[in-house]
Amino acid sequence: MIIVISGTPGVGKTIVSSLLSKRLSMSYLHVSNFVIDRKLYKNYDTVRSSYEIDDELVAKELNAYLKSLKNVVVETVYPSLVDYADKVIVLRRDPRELYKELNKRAWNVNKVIENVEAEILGYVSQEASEWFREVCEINTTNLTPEEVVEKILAEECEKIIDWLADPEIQEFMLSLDKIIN
Amino acid sequence: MSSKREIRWGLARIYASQNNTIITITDITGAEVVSKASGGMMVKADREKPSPYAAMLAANKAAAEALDKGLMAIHIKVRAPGGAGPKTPGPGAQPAIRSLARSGFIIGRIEDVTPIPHDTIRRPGGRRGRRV
Ligand SMILES: Nc1ncnc2c1ncn2[C@@H]1O[C@H](COP(=O)(O)OP(=O)(O)O)[C@@H](O)[C@H]1O
Ligand SMILES: [Mg+2]
Repeated sequence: MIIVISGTPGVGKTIVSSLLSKRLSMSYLHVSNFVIDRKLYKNYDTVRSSYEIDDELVAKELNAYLKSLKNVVVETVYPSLVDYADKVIVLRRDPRELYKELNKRAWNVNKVIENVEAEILGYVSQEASEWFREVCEINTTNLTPEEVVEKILAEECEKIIDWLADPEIQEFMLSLDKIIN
Repeated sequence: MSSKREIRWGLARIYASQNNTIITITDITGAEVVSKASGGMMVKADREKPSPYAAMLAANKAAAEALDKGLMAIHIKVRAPGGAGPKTPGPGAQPAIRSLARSGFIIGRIEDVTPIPHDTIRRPGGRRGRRV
């Protein structure tokens, strides 16, 4: 069984994936680490402190490797790198909470804001629902990681999470845009 | 004083999610919001929000207000994820751009500044996921 746990950085993928994999006695694969271990990148972007990947190259190696594993929880920001999954979970988090969370990381402000804007506009969520037939979205805001795991197991998914519909979040987004303007 | 009328430039930003579209028009520095409209405020039913029609109405409204306040030309910045599969990037993006162009503005640069989530790895800009 392959379970994909996806979402914007900072939503809680790592902690939820490791709890879930222990609970189900499955192995755990962190796609960003896999890419870096195998040097599946082209160059390093110093501005964004990240390695630039080629989707096709990563997907080829990743899917070949996944075939060799029986039961695995896969953590990734880009769900379309995975060709086959039994379950696809997209974790979401209130962008204002996410902003606080990412500011705890030693990232520059542009990197933090690009990620928060991606969450507001639902980048990962759209990619997942375009790539997979069925996607379960869970709002992790105000939940503990254990509660998120319980929701995944009980398949308690949200119908639509649209942060942009909230006028306060609209204002928040415009204020972020002013910071990076 | 110059004999030609000075062209007043502004900046339009389009934010399109799968369910909503927001358009803001500011002065060229980006500091002062001249007009703002969202698909949500143009149509009543929630399910109509992502419709291209709502986005078009919102862009018309924002454009009319900005033209009224003396802006004549705009650069456009678009943030619209999606587009890896059969769906278009945020369904409101294209209609919003078209309405801004038809409303009488001179259109300058149109830039795609869609945010790409990334941690230690990042897909290059312009890519929106795998196609097939
Ligand atoms: N409900 C929740 N689910 C998961 N993580 C949460 C939750 N609430 C707070 N967190 C915290 O968010 C932080 C970021 O989580 P992490 O797993 O590193 O995210 P990601 O792997 O998506 O970047 C962690 O410190 C985690 O404890
Ligand atoms: Mg992580």
